[in-house]
Amino acid sequence: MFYSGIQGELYINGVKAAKVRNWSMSTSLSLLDTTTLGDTDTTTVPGIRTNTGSCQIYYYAPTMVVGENNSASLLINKLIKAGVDGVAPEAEQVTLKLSLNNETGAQTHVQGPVYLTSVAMSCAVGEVVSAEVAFQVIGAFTNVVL
Amino acid sequence: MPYPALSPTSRSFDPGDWPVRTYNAQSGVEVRILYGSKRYNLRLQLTYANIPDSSATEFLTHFEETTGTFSTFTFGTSAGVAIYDGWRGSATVLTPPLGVNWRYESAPQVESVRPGISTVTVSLVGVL
Repeated sequence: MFYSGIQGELYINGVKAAKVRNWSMSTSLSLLDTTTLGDTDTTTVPGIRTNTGSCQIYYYAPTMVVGENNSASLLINKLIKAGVDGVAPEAEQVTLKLSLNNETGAQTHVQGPVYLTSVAMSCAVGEVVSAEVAFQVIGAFTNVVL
Repeated sequence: MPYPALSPTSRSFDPGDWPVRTYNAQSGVEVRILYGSKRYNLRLQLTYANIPDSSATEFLTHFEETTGTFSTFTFGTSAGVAIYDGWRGSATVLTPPLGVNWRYESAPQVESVRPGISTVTVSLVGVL
């Protein structure tokens, strides 16, 4: 089966996020050069792997319906902190799960602890306010089903 | 154990010089006296980037067995080939003169790059 945005879900600390517009993830591997004198072509060994991603969530004012939440607020508050006397608390770690549901109900997903590396919000005429969040996984994913 | 037979990722070679003393007279004349017949004080700096820790261990073991910077040694056949790997010129110009042997100028520098991978830098000096 093909997947589309309908099957996409984002979980923040185990709670399904509401009003997610998109998410993306990327894994990169740096290579360590092992080319020696006399070699004609580059040789390498695996270096450090880096897992990053981003998501965009509508900044959504919840009604009194049970289960609704402002997921954007929940997420950006992990990074944006008010300070006292110029000192703000440390950024908080959060567990994100990026998933795709298939027809059988099984989830294809990656999950891991992350730190938010950037949050961007803008408000403009004719546009719904949303938060763009970038994150980097701390170490390796704790769960990968792809 | 012999010097590790690994190809370096970079090599820097200084051919050294003959033992010459230079004297300058007040008139400005330069007098040079040759005190020996062999080139000495050759220097060879070798870098082995991103090698397994097991290979890095061989350098430290060899350093230990040669009593650090005290004892001299020669490269074995395979190490001699590996060290000059990639050199397309005459091999003799990189080889120390007869009677000149290598010793460590300083201890091998081992930099841990990631788990299981290290970079080793070796500095050798050719002495009579």
